[in-house]
Amino acid sequence: MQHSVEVTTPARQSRGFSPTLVQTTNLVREYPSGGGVLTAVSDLSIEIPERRLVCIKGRSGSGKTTLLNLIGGLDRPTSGGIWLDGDWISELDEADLVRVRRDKIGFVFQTFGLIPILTATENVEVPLRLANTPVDERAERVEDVLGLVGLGERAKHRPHELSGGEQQRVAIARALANHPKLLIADEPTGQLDLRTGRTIMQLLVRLVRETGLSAVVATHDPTLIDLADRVIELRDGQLVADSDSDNG
Amino acid sequence: MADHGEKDSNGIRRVTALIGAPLRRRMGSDRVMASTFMMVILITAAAVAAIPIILNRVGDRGLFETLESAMVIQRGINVELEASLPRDGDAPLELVTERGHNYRDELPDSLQTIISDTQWTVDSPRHNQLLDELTVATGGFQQYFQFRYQSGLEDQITLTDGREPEPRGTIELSEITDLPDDVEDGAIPAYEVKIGQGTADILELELGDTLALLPDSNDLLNRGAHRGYFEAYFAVEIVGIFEPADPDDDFWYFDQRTFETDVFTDPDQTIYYSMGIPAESVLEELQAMNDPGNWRYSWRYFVDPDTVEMAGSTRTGADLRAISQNLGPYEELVDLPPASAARQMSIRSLLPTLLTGAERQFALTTAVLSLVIAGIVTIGVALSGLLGALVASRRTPEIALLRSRGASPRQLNLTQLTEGALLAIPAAIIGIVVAALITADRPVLDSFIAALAVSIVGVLALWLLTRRIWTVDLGNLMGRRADVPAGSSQRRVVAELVIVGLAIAGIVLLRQRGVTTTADQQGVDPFVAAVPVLAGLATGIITVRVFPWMLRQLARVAGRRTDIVPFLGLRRIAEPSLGRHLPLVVMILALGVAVFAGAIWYSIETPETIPIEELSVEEAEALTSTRAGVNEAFQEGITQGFWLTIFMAGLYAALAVVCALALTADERRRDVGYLRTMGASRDQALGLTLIEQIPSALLAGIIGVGFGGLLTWLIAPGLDIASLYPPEEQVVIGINWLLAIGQAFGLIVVAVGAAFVFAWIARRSDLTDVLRAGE
Repeated sequence: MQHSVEVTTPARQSRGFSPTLVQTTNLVREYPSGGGVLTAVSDLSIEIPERRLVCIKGRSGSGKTTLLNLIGGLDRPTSGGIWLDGDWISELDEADLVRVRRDKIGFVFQTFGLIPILTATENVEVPLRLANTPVDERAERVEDVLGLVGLGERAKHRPHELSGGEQQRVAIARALANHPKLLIADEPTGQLDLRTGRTIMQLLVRLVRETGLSAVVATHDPTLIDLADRVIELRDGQLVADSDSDNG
Repeated sequence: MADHGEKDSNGIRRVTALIGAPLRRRMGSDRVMASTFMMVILITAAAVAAIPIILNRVGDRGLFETLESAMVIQRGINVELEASLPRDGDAPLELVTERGHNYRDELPDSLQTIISDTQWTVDSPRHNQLLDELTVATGGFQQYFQFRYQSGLEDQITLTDGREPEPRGTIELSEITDLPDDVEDGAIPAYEVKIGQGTADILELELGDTLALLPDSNDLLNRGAHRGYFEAYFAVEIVGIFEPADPDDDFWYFDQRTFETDVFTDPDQTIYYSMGIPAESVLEELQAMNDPGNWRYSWRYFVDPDTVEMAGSTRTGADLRAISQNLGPYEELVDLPPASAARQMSIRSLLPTLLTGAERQFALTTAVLSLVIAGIVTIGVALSGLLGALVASRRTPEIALLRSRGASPRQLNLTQLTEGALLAIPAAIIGIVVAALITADRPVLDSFIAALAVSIVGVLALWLLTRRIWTVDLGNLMGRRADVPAGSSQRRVVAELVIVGLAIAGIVLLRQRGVTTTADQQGVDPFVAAVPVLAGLATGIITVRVFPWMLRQLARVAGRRTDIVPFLGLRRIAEPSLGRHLPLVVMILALGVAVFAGAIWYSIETPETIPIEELSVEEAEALTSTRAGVNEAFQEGITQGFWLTIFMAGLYAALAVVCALALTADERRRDVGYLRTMGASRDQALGLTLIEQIPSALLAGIIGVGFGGLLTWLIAPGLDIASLYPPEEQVVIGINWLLAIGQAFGLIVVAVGAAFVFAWIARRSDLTDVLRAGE
């Protein structure tokens, strides 16, 4: 059941330095489960500022992916509100959510989520095609983001011709193609070896630092947690820790 | 007893568990595939089981129609004996009845079973009626008179005037009027007769009239009679006049001389053949007159068209011909006595000719229906192959896991075969039941054999296509990505080239010399007969090769646009993938067979009328000699075959589309899920699913119609459909393009409709569930 929330605009300043990009207010997400109700996220209120790399950690089933799906507008809360860069996305209809996902958010998945029949370039083109970006601008942006992730020379290769790390870099490039404000990554290093995983982390950190992007990353990876500006820890859908680091 | 019952019950439970558990497991874990596989086997088995039942019924109905529309004398068996049978006793004609029964008992079973009734006639030789000179001078008349006895007559006629004949004794010639002047007076034997009203009217006779008769020395029955017989007059007196209850009743066996004089007129004279019925008690005296000459005994065996079956017709015809050869000359209904008087017994019937004609038409009907069923089976096998590929694709991880745990190829083979059999055999049995229900008739042995064959082919297709999974290297198998497109092996390329080459060679040969071998023009060349199937395979192969290339070019064009739906949709279907292209082949085959069946059906329904009066005598005769006449039962059989084909083709096409969608459903759901995270709307996702089906359906529509045209062009010259029609109607087999386009449109609607349903269901799915499945 969807509960209404009082819609007020969050403070544009958070923790003194950066304006707030994402805010959740008393967020609850429940699923029917075996005749009962499973609470995946419980009364969660957090703020994510702009230009920050935020890691969400917690054991399996702690609610990390659910929280990312809610912030990304892929799922709707049972109650509570989600504010993203000027929109209460928990209140938006499907058409507006599509617009938000297209313009403001980039997703990166553990399994990369690349379309196997398309080359790296074509995969990166997908969000631009979805937004009907003009052809010339599309080509320019693809070249830029592939260059940004260091894959300019592998642009014509298909995913199965790339290594796991390269595939994830293509996925990141694709997520950046529309110049989103928020990058959401769910276990981005989950299928990578330690060294490749670290390279991907460093790439994410660099992107946040250089492009003004915010990233929310669900991970178990201690390396990435060490590199994060802020770490949020969930247990049974509840916030148990929220700490800043001095990385930023 | 209770123990036995419990043991039996436990045994049944164990067997049920043994069979049911794997079936339940498969149905539970892979419900869509298992159900679709069972459905394909079920409908194919139902179709192939129904065809023998339909053929049997069409054959029997067609034969019935042929015999029913023939005259009773044509389908009946007439045994004739020229003899002077013993005539002792008070009831001499009982001997004739008895002999008729004896003959019947001696007939082969194939003939005895189709005879419904027996009747006989006993005819005297011909006698000339003495006419006065005035009559002869003015007319050029010849009047013959015979005595006749006929069984069962009393039930068929009514005495309308006079009385029953009795022995008469003698009469003075002077009492007979209208005699020639040179006839000497004196007493002559006289016999009372009753005649039909028709005879009385034609001969202008009345009760009490008396005719003077003289034996006809030209009648072969009188051969051997003593000389004095031909010079001895005798007389018949009309004492009764009767009328038949129904002159057109089959009882008369198309021989109405019993009650009405036959009149033959030629430029020189008019000849009258008349008959009178004398008293039974004078038979001995009448027969004694031409001793040792003969009388003609005819036993008419009535054939009931309802009892003749197509399955036994060849035997019946052969038996009848054999008897004819043994008994005497076989003549096809000639209105003359047997040619050889030396052989006194003969048999006459058109039954063998009628049977042969019906068999020829049935063979044609069978040929058309066989082509149809061959098409259906080919599509069914292709669809089974598609399912095998689907199952193989879905089971790869499961089998890889089993192999990594130590499962041997033998165990995997056995498991796969058992599962296949558990799915296919019950489906085939249900198919037989369905066939019995839709035909409302009992299945024949061929139905069981055909359904069993379908289930075996299905199991083998499933087994062979999954078998390759346990023959590849386990390392490769474990590391294999399902979404990585596989290239063509050299073996496959060579096999495809061979099939295309054979198909082209076969088409050339088929057009040059037809289905028959050049050696004797009788046997069927199996290679040439297989050309339609080869042509279907070649069409499929070329399509699968050319189609992706075309789509890649289109995708390249679409790539220059800003949107994603046409670009990604075309790219996706351009990828070489068995699961994507086999449905296309199935759709092309289905439409091709449907178009071919439609061409046959349309041609049969719309024969052209030949202006026979404009043909030369030779052309008209040639035309008439090759036509057996209309047989609606056979035409109906072909029409039923057409509708069955249309139905099956539509069903197979729909199943192929569903299979294709089912095969790619997970992959599509996952990709669409990722696309939606990037901002794809639900309409874009729907469009993506539809665009993956529309080019395939359009191409299947175009190529399917072309393939149907090719089949018609190849096969039509070998089908003598015209023999199902009367001479004045001409059947030219050709495609009705409007019908073919309608069929193609139907296929496209089915394909796009199925895609729309799938897309609509996917559209409603929860995005987080999709992404979770993708992970």
